[in-house]
Amino acid sequence: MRFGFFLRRKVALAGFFFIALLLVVAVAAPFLARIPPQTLNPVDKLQPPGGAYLFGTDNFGRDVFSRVVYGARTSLTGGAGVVLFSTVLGVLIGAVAGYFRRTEAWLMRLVDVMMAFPPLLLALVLVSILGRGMVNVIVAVGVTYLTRTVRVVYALTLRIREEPYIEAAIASGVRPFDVVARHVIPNMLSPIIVQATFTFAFSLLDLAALDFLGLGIPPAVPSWGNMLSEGRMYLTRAPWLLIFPGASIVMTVLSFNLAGDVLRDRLDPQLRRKVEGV
Amino acid sequence: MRDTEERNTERNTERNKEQALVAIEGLRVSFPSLRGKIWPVDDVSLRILPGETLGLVGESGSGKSMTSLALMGLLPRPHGKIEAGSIKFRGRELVGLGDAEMRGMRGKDISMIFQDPMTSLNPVYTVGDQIIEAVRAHERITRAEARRKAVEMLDRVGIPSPEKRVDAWPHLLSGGMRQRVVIAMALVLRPTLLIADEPTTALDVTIQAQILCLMEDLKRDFGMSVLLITHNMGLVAENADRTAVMYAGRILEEAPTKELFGAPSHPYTRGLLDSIPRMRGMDRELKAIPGMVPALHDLPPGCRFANRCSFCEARCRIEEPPFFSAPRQGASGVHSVRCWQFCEERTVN
Repeated sequence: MRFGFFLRRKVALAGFFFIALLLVVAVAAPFLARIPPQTLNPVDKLQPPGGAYLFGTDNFGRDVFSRVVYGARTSLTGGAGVVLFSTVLGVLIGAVAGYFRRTEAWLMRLVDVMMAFPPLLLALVLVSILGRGMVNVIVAVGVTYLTRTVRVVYALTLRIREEPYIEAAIASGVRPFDVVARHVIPNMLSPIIVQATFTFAFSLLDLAALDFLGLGIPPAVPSWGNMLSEGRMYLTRAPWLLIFPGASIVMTVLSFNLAGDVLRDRLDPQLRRKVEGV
Repeated sequence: MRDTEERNTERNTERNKEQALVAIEGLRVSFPSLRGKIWPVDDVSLRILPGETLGLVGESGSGKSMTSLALMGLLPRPHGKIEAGSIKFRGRELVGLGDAEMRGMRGKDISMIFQDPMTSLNPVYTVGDQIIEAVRAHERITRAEARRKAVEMLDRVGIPSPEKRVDAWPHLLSGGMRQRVVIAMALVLRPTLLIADEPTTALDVTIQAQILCLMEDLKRDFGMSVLLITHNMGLVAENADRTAVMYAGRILEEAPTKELFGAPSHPYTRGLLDSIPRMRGMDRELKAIPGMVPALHDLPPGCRFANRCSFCEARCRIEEPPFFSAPRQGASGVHSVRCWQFCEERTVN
């Protein structure tokens, strides 16, 4: 039990470390990648890793290392976009639905309807309507995660609205909107942050899936999903085309999950007590 | 000598009726429930005079808190409704007042402090922030000015080194300190009415005394009225000028506090007082009122206390008594009681 907790802490630390590394890589991409990710070099196509090309080259002779490095930028931007979109809108809708009971039925039933669709399918439909492109993909995936955030925030709002300090704020004449913005929402920041880390992790998978299906970010932009999609024809001949972007996705998703776990344990002591009690 | 004094007081009371700070008349609050509509507050009339403390006692569910929420315009929405009656504050009708106008009065003219100081401060803000917010909800002043007011008020409620404590987080303060902060928050705009709903229930006995002392002091200083809601008879005995006893949504007895304790008239009030342990005669067994409070959806047709009352007569089960005037025992002011025992006396109109 003690040992397990200790181990989890160490693994989680590795998760945080990897996220930090990823951020550095994303920011410093132009300095890390000697060869621009779009540069075609047909002479050196499908070179195995090692030698001049650290991660090898793809079927157009593009440097896989450069593309993975720039892919980190794309993925982190995409994930951050989804988190921003779903959290901001989700908190707004959830808090309004939970606090202003007149809007509750409408907003929550709308959310329920959206939850009835399989998430990826809903994202696919939205991208088909909106068209490809970073912003559209973020909106499409963001909408599917919006529903979860709304649910979480709504439930928290129902709990917090009954707290005596809310009653005290109302009793001192604070406007309803200010009560929500200044008293209800700040009191659920920790669960929202935890939710956001998980949204980040899972949305990376969905973003990659959309890319893989050819409905995500335009192929010219280096992204891990696009690399998988393009490299899958060379699975047997040049597995490094799949291994490096694939491993990047796995590592990133895993890191964010681990970080989310630790954050949840740290920020939500009640949940921690429950977990440790088992 | 006593007669003239009494007559004078009665005349004053009559005159004060016109000047009452709060005049609640025939208030009826309804809630839907699974077993049909209930009335947690049913035909309640109360007056609070300027500078007076009115004690409202009753057990849980007797409707005392609902009465205060109705007064604040804070009945739980959308279910709680004021069905009948009027609430006048300084002659202004509050029933049917718009949300914005009601909000303008809350915290400014009427303030409220709650039972549990541990949870009535928002944990994510410093105490100063919360007082500043209460000020800025009503007054267009800068943060710095509001902060100065907050420090001043913290000092006034007896918090040591207020300039430092204004930036303290609620969890760093003790229960008594927090209740002082809550009081500072409620009184920073000098309201004319303070509703204190079980203000000391969650505190240690020694702290209770300090808080009550402070409230009394501030009341005199600011010239405000207090509506003290509690189930603690000792609390009203010490602090209230007049006391009303509530039971199952009705007021059963109302009198000047001394009179109520000196000559309790309603069997329920007498039962309540008998159930308090006394310093003398500790060997005596404590009396309890037999039976249970009737459920609000299943009230007896006659007197609401009838099935627990040892003086119950046939009439009590059929017809609910109106208010009668109880015989005076020397203290001044109107003493009215809702019990058939006093039927021979003239009724209070």
